[in-house]
Amino acid sequence: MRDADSSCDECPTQSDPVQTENSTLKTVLNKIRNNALAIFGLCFLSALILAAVFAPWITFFDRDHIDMALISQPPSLTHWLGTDELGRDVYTRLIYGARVSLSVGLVSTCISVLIGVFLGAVGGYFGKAVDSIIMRTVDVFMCFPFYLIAVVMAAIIGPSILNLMFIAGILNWPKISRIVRAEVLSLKHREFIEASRALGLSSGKIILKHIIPNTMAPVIVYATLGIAQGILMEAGMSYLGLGVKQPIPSWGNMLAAAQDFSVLVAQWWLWIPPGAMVFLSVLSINFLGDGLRDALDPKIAE
Amino acid sequence: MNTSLIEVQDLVSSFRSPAGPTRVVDGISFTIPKGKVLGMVGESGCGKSITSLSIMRLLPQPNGFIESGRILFDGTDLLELSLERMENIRGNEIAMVFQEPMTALNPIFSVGEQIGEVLQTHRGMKGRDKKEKAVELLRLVGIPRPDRIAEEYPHQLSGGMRQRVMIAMALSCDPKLLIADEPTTALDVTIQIQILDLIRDFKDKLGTSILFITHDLGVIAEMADEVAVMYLGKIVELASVCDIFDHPSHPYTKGLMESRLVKKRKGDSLICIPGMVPSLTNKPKGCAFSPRCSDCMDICRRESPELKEISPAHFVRCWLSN
Repeated sequence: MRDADSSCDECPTQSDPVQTENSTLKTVLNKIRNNALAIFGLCFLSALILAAVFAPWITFFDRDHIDMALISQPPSLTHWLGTDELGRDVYTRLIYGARVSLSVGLVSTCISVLIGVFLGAVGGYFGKAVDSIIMRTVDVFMCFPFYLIAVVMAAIIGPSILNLMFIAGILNWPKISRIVRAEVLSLKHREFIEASRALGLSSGKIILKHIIPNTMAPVIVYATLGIAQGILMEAGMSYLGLGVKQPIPSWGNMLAAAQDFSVLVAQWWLWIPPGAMVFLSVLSINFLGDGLRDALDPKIAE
Repeated sequence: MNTSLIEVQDLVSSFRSPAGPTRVVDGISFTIPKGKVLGMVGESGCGKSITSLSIMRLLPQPNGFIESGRILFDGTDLLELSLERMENIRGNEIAMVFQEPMTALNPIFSVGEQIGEVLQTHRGMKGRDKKEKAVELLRLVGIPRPDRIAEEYPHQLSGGMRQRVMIAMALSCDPKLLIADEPTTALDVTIQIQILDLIRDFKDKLGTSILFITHDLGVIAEMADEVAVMYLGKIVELASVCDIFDHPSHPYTKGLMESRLVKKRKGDSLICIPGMVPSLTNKPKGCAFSPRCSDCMDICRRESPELKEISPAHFVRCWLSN
């Protein structure tokens, strides 16, 4: 394994000097830089996040401003993406809609990562009854059809942004906890875990400081993809009228306009822009997730 | 109060199995005085590592458990301490160096952070202090440019360097007892001698007692003051290092001595102990070594001998010596 350096214990590192300042973030960024698709994803998402944050400054109309004199206008210089059936500016609502979609994606993913990582790590580490209970719960969650249960839950607790985040978070943690548990099962028998126990660390500390950080690579990748799933779910639920309610704009409820056949045929500016945003943001997130997976996988050499 | 630091009395460690508990360590007793080194030798599976893990109370879970016995460390019985007290002793007063430096370090933290973690846990050090002390420790174990190496990750270091880091971690809190479980087995010979020198230096400087586990008799001759030879969970011979090498009295010890490669010329055939270590679940009746012993007598097959003192501080478990 190490034949060359046996003779020179004094020259210990195989790494070149450039690598000395090796924060993980830097290494990851370096690796991503060569991946055009991931860079595209990163740029698009950054732009989207900036647009969502600074929405009031880059739009020219009030979000809910109704102008009955200008209903269903095609795109023009004043209304870049035209107006909807109530005379509201589509471009403005599209940008504000990014706020809803992104925050649903982010918050629901945070919820599912927190629950999933915690339960997965605890189950994997302690095993036995704890593990059985957690994993059987996971099995129960995973045997429901995702959209069906989401629709039922939304129907029971009512449509709203917060409920949507909650539903998406609650339905997504089982996959993450399975990933984490599998990682923990192999990690906990590694020698460095035994070594840290021999150094006097308690179980809690070992889980928090040694096991969970070691499971982060797949979790980060999965979480990225989870955001995409959150956005898709928001769009789907709002389209069905079970998500974000009018007048708050979201890409999903803007797409709902296409339920009307005349809109679908004659007013493309009402549904193509939100559809394209959903498509592009999910695509970017997936590109970025793939890029991250490659970058975080130590087996893929630089 | 005598000067012994740790006193193991009739320790029995077992593993649960479907066929009932299997005794892996079967009633062993030894003491290590302050500043001395006890070498423990024996074939694989004879209970050396389980003995050390029993002292740390880190037997593999969920099946390993300590059946009976006492482990007196500085006068207190480790087996009766609460888990918190035990965690405070681990890494602090009793530290351990593992066999595999390649896997005993966490791959995603720099070595400096990992040493720092021990310091933080047991010494409450933080921030700059912690960092400086970690670098200081790396310098003590002979790592060149320690301030830079502290920032590196385990995969960037060679095996010898990693073992030095492990030793730095083990010594970070000036432990009274160091358990070295085959610390040089995974290293090549040139590095082995450096690591042994390093451990011996620290023993002399800090007065640390060491339980040194190995199957390499050369290493034992180099390091140990006293030697315990283990066979199938029992100590079969316990004596000072000179006595063991000059007057090996148990047939198993003699066999081990003869199977060494010293004074062999080209063409000489290698000597080995015939037979295999019996399985723990199916121990022979009488003396455990009887099936492989060349001087086996009738009584050996019937009754198990006791550990007898044949000359001052030289104990042997054999009917031949009784």
